[in-house]
Amino acid sequence: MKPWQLIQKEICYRKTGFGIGLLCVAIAIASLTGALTLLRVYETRTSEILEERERETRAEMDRLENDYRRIMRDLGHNVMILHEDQSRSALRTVGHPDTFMPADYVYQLGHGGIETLNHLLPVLQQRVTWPEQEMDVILMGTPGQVPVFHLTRFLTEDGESYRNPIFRAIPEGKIEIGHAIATDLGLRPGDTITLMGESFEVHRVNRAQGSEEDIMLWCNLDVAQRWLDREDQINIIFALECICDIEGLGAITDEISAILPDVQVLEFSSRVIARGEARQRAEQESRRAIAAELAHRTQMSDELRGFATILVPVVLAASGLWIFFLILGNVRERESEIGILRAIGVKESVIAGIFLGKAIGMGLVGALIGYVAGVLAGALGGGGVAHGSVWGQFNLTLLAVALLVAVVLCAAAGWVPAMLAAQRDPADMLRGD
Amino acid sequence: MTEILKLERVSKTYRPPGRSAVAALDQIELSVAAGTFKVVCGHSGSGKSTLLLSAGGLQKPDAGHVLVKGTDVYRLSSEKRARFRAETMGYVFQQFHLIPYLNILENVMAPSLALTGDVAQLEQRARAMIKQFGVEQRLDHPPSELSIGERQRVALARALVNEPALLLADEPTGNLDERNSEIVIQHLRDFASRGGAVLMATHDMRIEADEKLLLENGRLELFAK
Ligand SMILES: Nc1ncnc2c1ncn2[C@@H]1O[C@H](COP(=O)(O)OP(=O)(O)O)[C@@H](O)[C@H]1O
Ligand SMILES: [Mg+2]
Repeated sequence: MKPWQLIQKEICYRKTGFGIGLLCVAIAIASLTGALTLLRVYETRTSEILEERERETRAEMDRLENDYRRIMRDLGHNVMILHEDQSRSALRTVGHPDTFMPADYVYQLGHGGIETLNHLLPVLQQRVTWPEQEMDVILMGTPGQVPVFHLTRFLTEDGESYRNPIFRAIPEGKIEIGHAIATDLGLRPGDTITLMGESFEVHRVNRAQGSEEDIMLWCNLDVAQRWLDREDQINIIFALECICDIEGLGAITDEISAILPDVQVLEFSSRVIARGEARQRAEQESRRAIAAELAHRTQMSDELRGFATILVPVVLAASGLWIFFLILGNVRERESEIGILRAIGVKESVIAGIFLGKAIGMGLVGALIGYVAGVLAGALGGGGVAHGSVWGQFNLTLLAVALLVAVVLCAAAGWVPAMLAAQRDPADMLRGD
Repeated sequence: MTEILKLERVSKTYRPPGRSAVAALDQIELSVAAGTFKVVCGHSGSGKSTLLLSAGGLQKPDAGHVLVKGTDVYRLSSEKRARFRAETMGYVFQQFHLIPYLNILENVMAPSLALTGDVAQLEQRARAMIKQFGVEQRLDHPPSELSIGERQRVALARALVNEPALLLADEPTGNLDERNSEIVIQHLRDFASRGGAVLMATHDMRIEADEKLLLENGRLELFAK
């Protein structure tokens, strides 16, 4: 016979005592694993919630950004880059800039690594009379937007054009007209018109702006250059100043003149600053909400942790004490057995091992029960474990911790009784009478 | 004849704290040879259990030597003494000290916990022993289901399963009726006749033995031969 067989048979004989011991260990381990699981579930849930909020905020910001872009588009660009020599008064009296720049300037700007500008729109603008209609219009020739190439987040994957341009290029053979022109001539998109002897399809009728934009006639830059005999020239670069950073306003002139020395910059951004500020406020507001949520959940989990760090050791200590008395009682009721084992020559160390082994066995089995109970309770108590991950809470590390703690607890609790059993004087137990 | 047990001037005085000292054994001289059945008589409290426990290496006397097969048992370390007990001695007590959760066969085989030899061989011997003591029908019963007499025979089988040189029996018939006492005594005699050394303690002066000694006031006198 081996000591472990003796342990096993004794356990089967005195089931109640062992059962109470198991319960003790199970409660202790359940409180430990339960607390750990609860905390982990709570923290996982927290990051899930925050991620969700973050996603919502980002979506909201994207929405605002789009709104903003739409507003910008509606309001038009808010920066105008002209040639240095362009007189401001002539701009008003003539009705268009009469000093020209190389069309290449816009590409220099686009590649110049500029931070404060976006959505560059090179234009060749000139007040002309539409000969076929005998009507004064402002001819706007543009190749469409030129990207600020390093702001890749706004660009398509090839980095060559905007994902969401605020101004789309005018397709070949088409023309876009201001609202006043459309009204005066009764034109609608799809109609065909004749301009300088060439025929175009009305691609789009712009919304009424109540400004000279209403008499603008947008066509391809090449076409305008050809008509106006201004090959490779433009006279305005419209741009959108980023209002993302309100404080950064004003840095723009310095930045541009570092790239293009002989230009001047006209800003008329105040109208959109308010929008930008509103957008910023909204962003700050939702950041604050996220921070508050995080703070709340962090505080909750700190409180939980604080509670657990008191409760778990108390439960562990209490069950350790209980196990100590259980094993001690077991030693008492087995005195006759210990005596005879000593008499037949069983070593003291084996006697101690029998009691310690029983305690450790109690620890291992109790730990398994407590582990399962604790993880289940923690996972369910943690509230709304997402994606049915109750099973995901069972993990080997936690099991190892549970087993280790239980074994240490039971070995510690069983140590003194086991030593007592081994060191009892066999004579006292055997004398009889 | 070979001397199995020898006590030389063995003394033991109990000094319970706060009470008067009891001189249980006073310079005891005793020897038991192989093949002899010796009985120590004495009334209750005369020191019989103390004598047997000392002889069996379970209670160190204050003075004197206990030699079993020439080995001074109290010179051995506690671990070695345990081993020595397992290999050379058998014990029977008035309370049978059967282990309640083991069946009869397991109880008889309990010494295998202390022995390193062949378990199958021990089991064979255990079964033979159980048969010899007439409890073979009860192999898988727990001790609680046996009569008092049967229990003592199981205890006896356990004491002899390791084929000891020395059997120490402390009032083995103390709880038994006359018929069962007869049976147990007869088994002890048989063991002696097969070459074992038996030292038995009893308060029953009528028991026949090779030598009877009287223990009184911690001293041993020859009582009958
Ligand atoms: N542990 C002890 N402490 C104090 N006195 C003891 C102890 N054990 C035995 N005695 C005393 O020693 C004497 C002998 O006891 P014991 O050997 O048990 O006698 P017996 O077996 O003949 O009845 C008794 O008087 C008993 O009270
Ligand atoms: Mg006695």
